Amino acid sequence: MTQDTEITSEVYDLRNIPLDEMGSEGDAILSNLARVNPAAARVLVAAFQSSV
Amino acid sequence: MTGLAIPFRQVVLKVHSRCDLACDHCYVFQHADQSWRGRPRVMPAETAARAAYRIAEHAAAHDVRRVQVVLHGGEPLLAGHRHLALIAAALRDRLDPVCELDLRIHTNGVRLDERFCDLFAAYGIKVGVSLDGDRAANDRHRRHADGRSSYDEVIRALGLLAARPELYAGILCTIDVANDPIAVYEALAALRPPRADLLLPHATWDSPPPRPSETAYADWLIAIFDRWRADGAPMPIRLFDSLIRTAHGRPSLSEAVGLEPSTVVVIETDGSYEQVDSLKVAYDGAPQTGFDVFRHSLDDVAGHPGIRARQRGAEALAEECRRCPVVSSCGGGLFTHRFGAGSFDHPSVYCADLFKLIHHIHRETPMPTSHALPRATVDALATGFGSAPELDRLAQSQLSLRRALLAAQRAQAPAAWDLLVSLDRDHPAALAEVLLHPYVRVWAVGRLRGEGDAAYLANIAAAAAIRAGAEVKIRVSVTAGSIHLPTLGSLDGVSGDDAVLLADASGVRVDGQETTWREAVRLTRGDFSVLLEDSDPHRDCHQWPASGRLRDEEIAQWRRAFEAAWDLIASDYPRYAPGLRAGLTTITPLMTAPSSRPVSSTARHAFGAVAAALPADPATLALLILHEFQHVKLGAVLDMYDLYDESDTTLYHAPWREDPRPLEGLLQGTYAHIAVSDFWRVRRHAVEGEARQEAQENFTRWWSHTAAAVETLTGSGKMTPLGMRFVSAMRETLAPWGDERALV
Ligand code: SF4
Repeated sequence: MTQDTEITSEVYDLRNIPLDEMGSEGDAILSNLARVNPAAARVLVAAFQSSV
Repeated sequence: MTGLAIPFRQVVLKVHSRCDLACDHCYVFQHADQSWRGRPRVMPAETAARAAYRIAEHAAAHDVRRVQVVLHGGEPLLAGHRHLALIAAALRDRLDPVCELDLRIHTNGVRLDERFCDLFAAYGIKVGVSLDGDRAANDRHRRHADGRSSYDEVIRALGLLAARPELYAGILCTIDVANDPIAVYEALAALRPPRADLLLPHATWDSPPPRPSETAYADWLIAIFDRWRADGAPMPIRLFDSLIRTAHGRPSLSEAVGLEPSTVVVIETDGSYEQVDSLKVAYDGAPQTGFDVFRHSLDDVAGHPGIRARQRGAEALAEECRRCPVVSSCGGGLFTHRFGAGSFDHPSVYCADLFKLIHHIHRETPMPTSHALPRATVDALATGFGSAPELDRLAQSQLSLRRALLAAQRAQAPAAWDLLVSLDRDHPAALAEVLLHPYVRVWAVGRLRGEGDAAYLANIAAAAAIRAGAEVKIRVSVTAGSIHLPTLGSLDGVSGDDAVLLADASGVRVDGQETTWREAVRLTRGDFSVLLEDSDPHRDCHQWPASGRLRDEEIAQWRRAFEAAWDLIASDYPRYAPGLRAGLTTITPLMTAPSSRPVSSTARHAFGAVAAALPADPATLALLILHEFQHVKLGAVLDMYDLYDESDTTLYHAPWREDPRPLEGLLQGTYAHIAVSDFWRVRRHAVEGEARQEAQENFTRWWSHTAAAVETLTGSGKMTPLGMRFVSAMRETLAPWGDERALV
């Protein structure tokens, strides 16, 4: 699969990251949350950054 | 207890101190430490009971939720069936009430038989077997004392385990660079183990490994890595998976690499605590701590300077390692391998190999972090259609979003989170099924705004656990007297705001309360089935109020309408059917409008759901489903991609409305009205008389509205390049229908 036949999205692929390791994926989670609810994600940034 | 930084999570229990093989690379018998000579052969039952008590004491004191205990040796099976059962029972009795016990055994396999397997099944023990590859590789070291090969015995043992997959943990392979790496890999892969690990042979700077070339171990491992990747990684290989994970900032799976603090402790057959076993290669007595299970707790052991040194991560490493560009992946390698001239303050004796291997792996595994769609998938969706593979792709990206949303709630309901973590590990399909329920995301997004009940996380976990066939006991959220379990149904007649839900083979209940279980209603036609969601407490998120719980006769009406509507879609609108089949999971009944005008809706967060009041006739239901499902598809595309400039605040004329609309509204409406135009285009030919005339008028009106809106989108100057591509595919679908406007 070459790059010009795929379009990369802004949704991080978190399917195979075990839930208990999601802490180390803080940036990915935030980016995803920003797509589903930008305002709420901004509020959460601080909380996440302190937990990861 | 003072200053305990990190509790122990893995305990290696030496249940027998001798072995029935005489492998010349074994760290227990063939290296510097000869302490095994003075130890009891078998760990006495009282010692095992005491060890179990110590582990439970430690887990309870530090709220450790999961402990791994590995029954080890020597060769643990030499302890015999009865004695191993006693030890396992002691561990289960003490630990099961306190935490999740992941019980394992590492064996050479020679003595494994059905009776052992039955015992392991009874006590939930997973089995790891040592095998060094093909026959030639294995027989290089793994021989009986009289020189006989152990290969056939081990293969027989692996056959027993292959037939009992629930017991099979994997294969541990010790590397010897004299073996052909590809032959070793192929031999392991042919056995199809659930997991394999490749272990560097134990060595120190004082006693370095055989090294035919400067990076012989890296070269050997890279040969396997490249082949493993080319094969599509047919089995997990712990060393490689750990290095890929650490390359992307995630924790290692193995003590052999990574910066994670060590959480392992060893208990010898005489009950003495030791540091990791591999230290035996360093010097005589190296692993000893001077503590034992009779007089000392694990907290005492945690204070031992040797243990502490292994918990200090990067800070405990040699200067050279701390400056190393791959230190976050390597972590200085296995602690033992750093030993030389009386100190551990060195890089690994495998430093050059680790550096080269890690470099190679980092280069070969660029971070696969984002969902991507093939251009053809985006184009197929843009035409207004899209079939099963396209919808599956959208659903998979929704799954990632939902996992992120769930993770955002982890601190709010710890017991539910723990259950979700274990379901995620053991029953991912059951969990995914529940996470993809449309209103799980609605709840989770509401939580981000501080709305809704945090405890509902437990309802999600319980639903997934029940789907996985697990027994459940967990405190869940109660809404209006019901416990809703998404995708499954509701337990009605519950008092209070929360309750402890029990689920097992006999059903779902709350102790001491008279409750009734109401199975979720499904609408089914042929092999297609959707939920009729009249109970989910988060379903009322549409532009029109959700109906209350349906009565039996209303459900019957919905059934009849759905069957006829689906038949119509399948026969007259076949291009939409595969996408619906793959992506429509739920229909949510709405209140009927006073004028009985058709009412339908979609909610951006409720991927998979279409909401509607039951319309007067099935053809209208078909139309509402086709129309609303367009919004479902486009909403998921918009979750992935920017099709327009989100900062644009201009309002645009939408031909079907009096009030101007923001760009997203116009795009959504246009995309949905492709299906509406198509519905009437086809419908004109299926009905007669006045209805036919009406269908014709509807078609020409919707077609021209939609075609005009496509031009407004194109001319807005606010579509992204991908958005322009999307809209032009929409235009290509519409254009030929313009020539069909005259009704012949
Ligand atoms: S590659 Fe060598 S220097 Fe770098 S962290 Fe590993 S052992 Fe230390």
